[in-house]
Amino acid sequence: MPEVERRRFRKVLIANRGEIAVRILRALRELDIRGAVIYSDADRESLAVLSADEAHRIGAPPSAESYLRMEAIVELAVEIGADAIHPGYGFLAERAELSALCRERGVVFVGPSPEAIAALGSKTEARRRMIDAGVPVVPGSAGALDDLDAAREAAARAGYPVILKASAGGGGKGMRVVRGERELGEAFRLARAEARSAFGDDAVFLEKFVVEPRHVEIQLLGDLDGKVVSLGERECSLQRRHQKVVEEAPSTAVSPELRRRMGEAAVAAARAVGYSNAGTCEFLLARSGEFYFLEMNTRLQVEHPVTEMVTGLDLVVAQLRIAQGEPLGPEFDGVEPLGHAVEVRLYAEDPYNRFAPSPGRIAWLRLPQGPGVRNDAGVYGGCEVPIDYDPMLAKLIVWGRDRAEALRRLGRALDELRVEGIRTNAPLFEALLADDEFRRGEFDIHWLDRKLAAGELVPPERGAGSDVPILAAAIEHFDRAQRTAAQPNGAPHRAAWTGAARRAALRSTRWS
Amino acid sequence: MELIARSGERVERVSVERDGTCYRIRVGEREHRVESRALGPFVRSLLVNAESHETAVFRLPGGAWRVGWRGRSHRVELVDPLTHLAEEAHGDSGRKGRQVISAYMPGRVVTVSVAEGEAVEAGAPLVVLEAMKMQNEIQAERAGTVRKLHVAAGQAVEGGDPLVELE
Repeated sequence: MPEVERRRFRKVLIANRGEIAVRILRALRELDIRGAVIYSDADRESLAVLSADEAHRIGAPPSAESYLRMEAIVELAVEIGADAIHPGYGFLAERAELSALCRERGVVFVGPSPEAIAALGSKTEARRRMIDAGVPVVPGSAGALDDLDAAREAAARAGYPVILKASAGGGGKGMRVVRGERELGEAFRLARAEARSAFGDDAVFLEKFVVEPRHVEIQLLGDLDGKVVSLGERECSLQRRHQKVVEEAPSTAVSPELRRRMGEAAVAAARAVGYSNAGTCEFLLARSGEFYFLEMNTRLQVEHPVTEMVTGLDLVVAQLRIAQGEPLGPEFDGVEPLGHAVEVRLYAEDPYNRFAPSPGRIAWLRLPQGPGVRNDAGVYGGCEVPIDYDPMLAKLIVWGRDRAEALRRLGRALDELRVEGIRTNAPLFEALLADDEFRRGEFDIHWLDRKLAAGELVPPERGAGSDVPILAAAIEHFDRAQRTAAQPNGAPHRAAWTGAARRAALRSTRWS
Repeated sequence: MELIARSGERVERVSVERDGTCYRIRVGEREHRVESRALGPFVRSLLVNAESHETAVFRLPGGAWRVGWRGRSHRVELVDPLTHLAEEAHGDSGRKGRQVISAYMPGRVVTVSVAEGEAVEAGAPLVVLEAMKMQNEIQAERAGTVRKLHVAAGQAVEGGDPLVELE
């Protein structure tokens, strides 16, 4: 094995925005590394820009003209003398081309090699490699299905129900569940057509459809010497339309013995592709306790803080150290979860209006504090939440000695949270805390969508019938009337003043 | 000052008077002594008979108030008792007539699903708005006829801009 080059970063460029840019800046500061961020015109006043040592404009608000400008970002890194690029999550984080371009331009990519990303990016290729490495996968076709006969044969082997998926796909596009052989022909034709229109590639494969599974993922770290460790699981079954909403560690469905087996499978998966840096192996966990490889996320996850809370490790610091060529130390061996952590994703969306986005200016913000509470926020009171990006404002993470204590703290933290000026999905978490199945930890990946569709997750009423809102409005109304009464000529005066100001402004434009 | 407060289903008689540094406010039969401090342009700390409440009050277009309190949003209208009586006398006719459906968020109009003069059922899709990479369908709250379209596909709108008028 070639000698790993060890170097010390002086400056790192963050190719991201929002809370994750702020999170990475924190790690950089602790390591005494200069933190540079890119920003679009919509993010000039963002918390990431305020928190950074350097901020560089990258383009107009649309992502394609800013955070997705791969060549421009790598050129910027070279130009400003950054030793490395941290991609965060989303945007370019899982693009093998970025990792390759960094290598070509002599900038360290804080993440795996382009070869590892490419191998895991194609679902059929990843699956083949996993089977070779002995990692359990959902029974089904080994690769893309050539024709309907191949589909029929593969479905019979896997056993119905089965699901058809686009090889190049993700996010639910091109997926079709087939309950029996009679539905297969039509579904196969439709899945291919959908795959072609969504991804420009009509290759589809087929798997056994696991009924009511959980989404449980294993956090991995691998160093450049080839050591790979598991840091235990995260329970991510609570999803709304394939979007994770609440994550916790450990999972109520995972015993120490199952944790060990899933960890070993995930480590084998990483070794099969020569994986390094932080990564996450996603598994479907069936009620039977059997688990199947879903995919590997070749980056830091949004929900990484729950692992940090139960392990005491800093994953972003670890990522940077690995990228500097440092080996994983003994603190990463045999890691077991201590206590219980829960993360909720605070989105600028209105749970009373079908989760419609609620961008705008945050008039007032107070994040919860106190024992066992952590906030990873990308916003501050007075800032504008732009309409151009993902509506996540912050992640609220709580820790307790056990799940019950963590949930009590979550309730208390939500009580402390104040966000005014925009709507947030915080009432959804209050509704979850009041739900018996959630409290018992009994759910699967479809549970949240099912409950919401059935109208069973109604946020607890707060202050219905109370006079407080009326009192607050009445005081404003009264004060406003008093102010107007105190200046009988108030309105004309103001008009005259604005008129004068407008004339002054016109003059100054003419003269300058 | 005598007022009528309307909030959701509630209609209450309210009287407000200043009492030194406090307010003496009667809501229906209940009398409250409220000490108030403005903490910013919108936020007030209220001590209601010494009970602590943090509220945020925003003035809505048209003069109603939106009060944020304990993580919930409440719409409160305060009107002169005579105005209230006059509106009551007109009954619901005002509310049954034209309804202007406005954008509840800034964004871009992706599709307009109806044409002027078209009859729509309650729940029918009217306009799809996109903001924050998410598309949101705006539906008719009740059946009616599209009287006017204020927007076309591709157009950018601000929160509160009129989209469709139903009758």
